[in-house]
Amino acid sequence: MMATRFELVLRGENKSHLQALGEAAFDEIGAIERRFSYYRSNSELSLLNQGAFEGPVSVAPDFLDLLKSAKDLFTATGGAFDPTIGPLMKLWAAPRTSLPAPEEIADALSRTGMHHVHIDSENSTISYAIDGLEIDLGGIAKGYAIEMAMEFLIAAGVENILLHGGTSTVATLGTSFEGLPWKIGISDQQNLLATIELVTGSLSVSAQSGKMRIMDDRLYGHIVDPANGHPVSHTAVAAVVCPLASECDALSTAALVLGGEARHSNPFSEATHGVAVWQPSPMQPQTRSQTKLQSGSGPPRLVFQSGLPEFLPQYPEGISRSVLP
Amino acid sequence: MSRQLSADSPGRRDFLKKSSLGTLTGVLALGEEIPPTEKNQPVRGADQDSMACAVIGYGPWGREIASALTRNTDANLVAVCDNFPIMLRRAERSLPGISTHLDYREVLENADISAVFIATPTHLHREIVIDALDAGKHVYCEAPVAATIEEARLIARAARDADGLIFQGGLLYRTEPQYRSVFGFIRSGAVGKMVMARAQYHVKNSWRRASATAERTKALNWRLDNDLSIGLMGEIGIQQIDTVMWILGNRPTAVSGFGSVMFWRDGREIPDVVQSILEFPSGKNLIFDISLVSSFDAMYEVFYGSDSTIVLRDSKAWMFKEVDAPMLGWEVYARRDQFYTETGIALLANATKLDALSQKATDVDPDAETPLYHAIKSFTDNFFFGPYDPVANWQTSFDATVVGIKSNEAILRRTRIELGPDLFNV
Repeated sequence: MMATRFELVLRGENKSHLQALGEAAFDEIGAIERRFSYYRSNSELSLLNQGAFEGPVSVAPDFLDLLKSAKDLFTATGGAFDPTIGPLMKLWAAPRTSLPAPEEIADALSRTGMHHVHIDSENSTISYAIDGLEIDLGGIAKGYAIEMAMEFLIAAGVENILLHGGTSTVATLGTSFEGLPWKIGISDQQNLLATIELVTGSLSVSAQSGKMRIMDDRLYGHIVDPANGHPVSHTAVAAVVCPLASECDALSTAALVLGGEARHSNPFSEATHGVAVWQPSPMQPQTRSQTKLQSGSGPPRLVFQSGLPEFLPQYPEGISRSVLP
Repeated sequence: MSRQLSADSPGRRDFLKKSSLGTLTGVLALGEEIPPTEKNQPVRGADQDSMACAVIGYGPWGREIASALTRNTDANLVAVCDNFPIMLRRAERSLPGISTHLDYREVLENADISAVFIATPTHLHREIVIDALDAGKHVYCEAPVAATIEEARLIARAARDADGLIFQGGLLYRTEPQYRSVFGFIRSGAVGKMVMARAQYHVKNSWRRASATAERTKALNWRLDNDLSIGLMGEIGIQQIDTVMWILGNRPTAVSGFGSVMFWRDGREIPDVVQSILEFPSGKNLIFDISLVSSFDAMYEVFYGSDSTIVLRDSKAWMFKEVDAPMLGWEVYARRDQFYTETGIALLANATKLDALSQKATDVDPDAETPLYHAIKSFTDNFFFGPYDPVANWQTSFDATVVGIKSNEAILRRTRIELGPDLFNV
């Protein structure tokens, strides 16, 4: 589902009951994927993208609410989270060995911006102000799907849950098998950077590693800054904790884009939110001769963190996950 | 003015709906044969922009039906009915401008609603279908249409006698474009002498449902209740059984069954792994198994012939030729996919699309619509362009239901049951 793997842990007494609930929770996620997929041409999102410039398109109340949340997060993060960034993502993801031309970037930028999306709550319609605009909910839909699945499980009476999608967004409720908080590691896929403990809440991590590519002999990440149209290079990993998985999902991308600036951004300073940002280790020449596709020579360095529960960035630099006990 | 979400062009629909070409086009899109024109019969829906309809039963499949209806510009889903309030709140949240009802009779009393889509538990179909037809509603009823042959017969009779009303059973593959394409291909003799068919449906799923209350959980688990359920062959297998009946052009004459609870030992008595052998005339038997335990190789149907074998899966199809089979001119240009040591020639219903030719065997077509969408599209086509006999009509739906029920009975009794022609009399 959603081109990734979802895993679910339910703790309780009745195994067959929990099994059935788990299957239904995954069905919820599958249904959300079908509705809001950017890639399926018949999804509700695709049909919106196909018609919203021509005129207002009616959407379901829950879809409207999701789009309103996305736009609120766009505003709150100063545009660092932008679900209309598709043209820029496509530009940078296209097979190429050299950087896109400035005109290409400017053209793609001209077709982005969630502020061009008009949401009419009264009539439950959406319209786009500019031609070529497209919403891609990839930065929030996974969290939203987890949120909806959690809502279903909680309504069904489950008291202890861990659900993650692609290991990048996780939501928890209650406690783990030892009766302790759920313990979750944050890594950049190479190094364990920190461990946090969650009882009820969500954690989302955005990382550059694993999706790096070389252009003009330099390494570039896959996350593009909507402000300038270029891949982010100043941040390696960002993690966000907050109550809602959808918000977490979007905010971790925003924190990665904002980097150290995230500490001054409103959504991250709320009492219910926590954030941590790591920058790449000191830069060395990034050339094709490098064998490890990561931004620097060692583990990312913590820039700042605030509000993360039981945050334990205790692992010394240079100790990789593989050598930890 | 806002528009509903849809990929279809309303202009095309409006033109066809009001023109004499409409009837012919609708028939060609749907049926195996062109029925005779019925003169002076009004074109249903000619004065309507869309078919106002309701979904009765808003469980997982009801939600799939609702989703397919919202993608169909010819349909206007205006009401949802379910006897569980939480389902109605879900409907209000995910469907724009919907009215919700706990009692299906409220839907039937609404004169603005032309059609109902019934997706309640199987054992609850009969009363709703018959009441809906009595109320003058066109009916799409999920398959199987009933959990007993007696109730299925009552539904079929009511549908047969409901003059001018559409009754379509939820048999999904007779209207699926790829299956229709292969149907014509097989019927043209491309496989040589057909000798047997095989089908499987494999998932890893408990088939159990759960809810917050014991009462609701019990109601949800009607499929695991021996008194209400017609088991895997009846509830799931009916689709593939019907596909084989349709392609072979015959009803089975006998069925043998096996099955037991192999894995999900949670107190259930409904087998979680079953095998059936359905005997067809001329010895073309169907060997069919369903598993809720091993998901290996998912779902497909295979038709074996003296010249070639055809595999249908995921709305895709391949032909595997025998070495002595005659050369087919078009196959030179066809896409070939490797399956271990076998080479399959892709049979593409959308072969004129170059991007379809370039897809890999396992690619998910982002433009593909679900079989359910096509089934519902055939229903709305009938509403606007008909009347004509649906390919999944009352008789077809009855036949498939009877075979599903008897297949389950054979499994539970571990025996062979003759399916005489009288069994299929309505």
